[in-house]
Amino acid sequence: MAKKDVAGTAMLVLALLKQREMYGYQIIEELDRRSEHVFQMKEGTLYPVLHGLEKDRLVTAREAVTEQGRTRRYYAVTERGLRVLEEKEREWRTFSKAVTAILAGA
Amino acid sequence: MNKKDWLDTATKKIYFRPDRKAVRRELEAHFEDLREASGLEAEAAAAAMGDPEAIAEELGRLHRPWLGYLWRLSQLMLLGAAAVYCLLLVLLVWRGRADLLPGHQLCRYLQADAGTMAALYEGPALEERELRTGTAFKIGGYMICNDRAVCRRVKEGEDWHLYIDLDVTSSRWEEPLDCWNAVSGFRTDVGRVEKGSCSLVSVNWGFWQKCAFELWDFPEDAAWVELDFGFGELRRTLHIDLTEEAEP
Repeated sequence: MAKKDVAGTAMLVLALLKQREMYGYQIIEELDRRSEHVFQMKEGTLYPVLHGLEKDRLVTAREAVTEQGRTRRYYAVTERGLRVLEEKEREWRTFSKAVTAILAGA
Repeated sequence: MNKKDWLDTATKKIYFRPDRKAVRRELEAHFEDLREASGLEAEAAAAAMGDPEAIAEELGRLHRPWLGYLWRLSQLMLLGAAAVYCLLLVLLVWRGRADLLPGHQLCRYLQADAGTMAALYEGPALEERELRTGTAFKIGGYMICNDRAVCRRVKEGEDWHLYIDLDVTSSRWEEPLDCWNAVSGFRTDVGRVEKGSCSLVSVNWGFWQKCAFELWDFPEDAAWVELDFGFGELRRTLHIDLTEEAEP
């Protein structure tokens, strides 16, 4: 299977969806809260990322209608998505460790 | 920009309609969630959602389901073919030429090959003459075509039997032709044939009917036979030449 290149934003989204399934608005709110307002994602960024992940079968989606009649699309990470996320986490830790080491010696 | 314009713009480059509708529903729900949580007015919420042109570019690039397009194309082609067939059906039945429709032969076999029509010609025959046919006429909205006529004799010394097949097409599918009563009599050049010396097998299949008359006890030296059809005030005669054999 070809290795899927996942950008940083997509990695953050996958990491959130690893906890539980969420819909778009929830993802933006959760990212904002957990990053202490560092990552404030715009809808124009989120939805292309989500739909791209779905197209690559890294997440799946299901629709549910709320009491107010809104159709929400809940996204959940797939097994394939989890494997890609693990790989990205490893790469990130290596990268982060290297940058920290260099900064510590500066 | 109001909500509708924002959603229209953001989804305008998704050309596959089912996808576009699904994405629009999702973005609309997001829009309402945002408004509810932030208390923003519609225009401010639209601005907070970001540039719809930019999202349209990205979503348009992602939503290109070729299988979906092919599926839709095949549906359209199927619908087109069905529409053309229905149009042909209406036109040809109206013009009394349902026999030209594709599938007509199959229908004929379905209707006729129930063991009834075929049985008439089964069994060994001592002598058999296939006669020239093809006469057709219209009466009371029914197109009647004599598509087969056969003279048969099974045993030496027995009478000749004449089998006359009629193919009846009509737009009046709910009211099949009553062949038995539509034929008022049989005549030959040497005398009449009583209806008591005749039997009828008829099969009806919607727009098409198959009627097969079997005549026995008719003059062996007759040169022709005529069937007189009557339908209300209308009169038509089917003439069969007993001396002209069909080309092999």
